Amino acid sequence: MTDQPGTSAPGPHDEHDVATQQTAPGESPASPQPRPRLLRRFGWVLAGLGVLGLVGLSAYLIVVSREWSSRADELTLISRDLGQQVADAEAAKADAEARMVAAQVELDNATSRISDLANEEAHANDRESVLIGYVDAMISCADSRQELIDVLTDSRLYFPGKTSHQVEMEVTAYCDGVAADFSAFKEEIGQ
Amino acid sequence: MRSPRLLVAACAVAGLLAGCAALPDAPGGLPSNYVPSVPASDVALQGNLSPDGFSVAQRMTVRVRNVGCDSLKTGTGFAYDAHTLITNRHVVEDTRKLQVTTYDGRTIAVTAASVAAVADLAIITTEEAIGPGAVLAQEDPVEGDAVTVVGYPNGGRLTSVSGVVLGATGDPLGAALGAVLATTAPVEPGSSGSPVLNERGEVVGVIYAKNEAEQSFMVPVSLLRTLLDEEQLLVPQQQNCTSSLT
Repeated sequence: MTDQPGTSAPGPHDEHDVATQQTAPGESPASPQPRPRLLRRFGWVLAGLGVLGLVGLSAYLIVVSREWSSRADELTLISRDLGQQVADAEAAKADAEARMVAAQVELDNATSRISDLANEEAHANDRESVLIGYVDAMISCADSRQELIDVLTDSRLYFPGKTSHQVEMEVTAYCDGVAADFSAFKEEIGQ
Repeated sequence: MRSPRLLVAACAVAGLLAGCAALPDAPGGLPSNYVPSVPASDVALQGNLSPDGFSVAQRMTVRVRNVGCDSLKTGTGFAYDAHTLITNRHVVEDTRKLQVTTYDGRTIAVTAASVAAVADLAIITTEEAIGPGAVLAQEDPVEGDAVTVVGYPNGGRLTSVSGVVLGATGDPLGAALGAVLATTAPVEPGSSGSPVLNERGEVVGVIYAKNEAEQSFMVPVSLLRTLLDEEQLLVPQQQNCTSSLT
């Protein structure tokens, strides 16, 4: 291959240029030739360091990746276990709520029944009190009539300030009133 | 030509080494001392729990039976403390014997009764303990406040009715000094002496009357407090009758 003017053939042409430059009068006597080699070696060292760094980085990343993967598996197991626990708790909660609703219904029925029984007992006690009152009134009526009979059958007895007829009228009115009230009460309670 | 390549290579290595600073760390150990926070239970906030399904208001409310000289009438009262009940004066008047019946059917004898001259209120004492007493509100309710009346209307079952406070008004019966409060809560004969409760379950008044417009009237809790604080305003109620035949 022949050098052509204006072409940029590498290698010998460059060296020739350098040699030419080195022999040129008035220029620096330092030899530039070792610099490319040094640079080339430095480049290789850098490349080697880079490769070593990449290898080390890759190894590190592999180890870290495996550890994270292991952690992910561990957390997956934990999350599944927790998920099962949540599902069990939800089921237990739903069961408890259903039982609570049933218990609440039973409790409402029981309290309603208690109120009914308390109401029935209260009314029974009311009737008992009323009946006791009628019994007392009838006893009073009977006593008064007995007293009237005693006065009418014994001439030594009398009613102070009243005639026997007046007392008889009062006792009769009282006893008739008691009897009428008692009849009304029996009708009220359906007897 | 080589210098730029070396420069690029050096920059690449430098960048690579600088990138190592942002490398992810290996995972540490799982935390073993983590304690999850437990949400606060709202059971205590329900405030209506009881051993038998009845509310505090129901348990403190009693049915008053007044076995009179010539008749029997019923009313309502409520426990102020274990042995003291509050009811209306007209519920215990003209009595031969007073009895109270609790929400669960227990009949309790009354040992004494005192009536107030300044309002239609009366205090009953019992030998046997009634149960938990009422909590009196610190202030009277105002217009628009929601209230609940627990009582034994017509001497029947223990019931609860709701209404709102209409405001202060004069006593339609002239039985109370000062203003009373009107409500929309429907009441019946037998409801007299019923506690009127606010939304917190505190007693804000005592039912004592109703009108034809189905409004109910209550003695406000402020007057009740005055009565409880000043015992000289209470007069013992006599429990005797004169015979109809003399």
